[in-house]
Amino acid sequence: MNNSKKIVLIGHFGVGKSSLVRRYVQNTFTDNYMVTIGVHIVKKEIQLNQKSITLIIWDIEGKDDIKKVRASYLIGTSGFIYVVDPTRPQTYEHITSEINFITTQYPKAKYLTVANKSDLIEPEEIKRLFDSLQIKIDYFASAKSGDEVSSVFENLAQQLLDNV
Amino acid sequence: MFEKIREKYLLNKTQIIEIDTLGNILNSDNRIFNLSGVGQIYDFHPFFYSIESLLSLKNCEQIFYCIHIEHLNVQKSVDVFFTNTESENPILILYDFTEHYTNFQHIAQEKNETVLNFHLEELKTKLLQAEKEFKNKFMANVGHDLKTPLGASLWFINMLEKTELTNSQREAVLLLKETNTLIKGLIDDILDLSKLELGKISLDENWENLSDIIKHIQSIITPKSNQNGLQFTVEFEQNQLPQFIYTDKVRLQQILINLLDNSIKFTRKGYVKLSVKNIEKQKDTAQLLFEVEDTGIGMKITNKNDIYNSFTKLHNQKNIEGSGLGLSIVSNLITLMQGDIHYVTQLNQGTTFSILLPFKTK
Ligand SMILES: Nc1nc2c(ncn2[C@@H]2O[C@H](COP(=O)(O)OP(=O)(O)OP(=O)(O)O)[C@@H](O)[C@H]2O)c(=O)[nH]1
Ligand SMILES: [Mg+2]
Repeated sequence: MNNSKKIVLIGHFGVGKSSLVRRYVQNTFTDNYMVTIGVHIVKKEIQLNQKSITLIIWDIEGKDDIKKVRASYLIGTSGFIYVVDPTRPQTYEHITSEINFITTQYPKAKYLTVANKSDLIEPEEIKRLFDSLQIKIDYFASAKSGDEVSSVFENLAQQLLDNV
Repeated sequence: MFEKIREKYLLNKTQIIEIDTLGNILNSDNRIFNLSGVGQIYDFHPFFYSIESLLSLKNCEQIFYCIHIEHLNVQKSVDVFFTNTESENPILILYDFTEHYTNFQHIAQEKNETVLNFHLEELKTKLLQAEKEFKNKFMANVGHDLKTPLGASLWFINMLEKTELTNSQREAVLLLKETNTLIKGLIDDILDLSKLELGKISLDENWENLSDIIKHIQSIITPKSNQNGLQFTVEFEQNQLPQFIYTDKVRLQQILINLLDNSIKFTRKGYVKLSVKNIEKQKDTAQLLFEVEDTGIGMKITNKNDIYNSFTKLHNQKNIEGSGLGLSIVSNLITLMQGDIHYVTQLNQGTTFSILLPFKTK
């Protein structure tokens, strides 16, 4: 079997985890919200610098506390994508402790933080917002416009390739 | 009998799959998904990549809840149980809980959607508010910037007027002056409106003589309507009306003059009328009804409240000047005074604006 890596998207409900996956895998978007329960798993094979990697992407149901996520969903995760909605403060107010949880429980895993729905806020404003809260956001993406979506997955994939 | 019931109702809700430690499918009862022809469990569905790391473990049992699996057009939400304690080879058991999880989804959908929609509405309102505020600040700034040079130009025109001029030069200066005054009025309107919408205007209320206010309006409107060949009448029932009202005289006059100006502008023949009535007389308060009636061209209305929005021009007549700011100023001022404005209009028959305002009286 070739080089496969499990990636899990984490975050509150409605931040756009499913939409990010849909944009990345199918390059589509819909305004209709369909709540995820349990987990949807998709596979995507990509090439990065002549190396191929198979991403097994776990799009799990939203939880306001990472500790409430079923532990079985997180077994064997190589990379986390922590997604927040910059227009809803509840979705990022505990991000620091959530990330701490990931780095202590899954020390070998890589992670990225993503502010989705960046189409709804001015780029300057969004950066200022997270700077002022001292929250490190790796990507300001939009599943709606497609902005930075593939960068998120490819950056994480690259880190996972470098990891072996 | 139990076996029959089990066969009919339960067996089709579970599936047992035997694999080897490399992930090859050895056996499957295919009760939910048909796996014939599928070589490796990973080819069945990407979920099964996650059991790869369990295959090398000894005495391992693990359950995964609510996995959505689609295979050969069969879509199910299943729990997956992994065990290698039962036999030499690892065993997977799938439990079909599709109905249960679908119900669950509906409940979560309703709850989450409500929260998200509420939030989106809030966001939209905020955005609109910000846009409106930007527009008003912009207008206030531009208006302010225009005022200074305009003032200077008016001053120069006045100077010019005092010099010796030929008749045609004098005519030109007069026209220039008129145009400038018009622009000044417009800028004042813009400034007023932006301040009103930003909530930066407060009323300057005092005890005022009501009949003096009406007389003042009459003195301004009568010559204008005469110029346009219109009759201007005032209906003022002195004995029914309070002598003194507590009001911002300048703003009240602004409201009525604005509406009367409008009427004159849109009436070619007939009359313009102002009437004042006392609707509700209490000891120290009164509700006064001001009506401005004309026999003008009327308005074709598609949206009843649209006419109070800034920049809406009601009459598409090209030969009639006006920015459409007047009515929004009027309606903003009336709101500030806690009053109400209504109108009835009929195309080519005329329009009547009714304003109801509460006052303290004595
Ligand atoms: N404007 C905008 N809306 C988005 C974006 N991404 C997602 N949405 C909308 O946000 C809502 C929720 O998106 P989902 O992708 O279903 O969110 P989720 O994180 O998967 O939610 P759960 O499955 O409940 O955890 C949907 O109505 C999407 O259309 C985005 O980038 N911009
Ligand atoms: Mg989802």
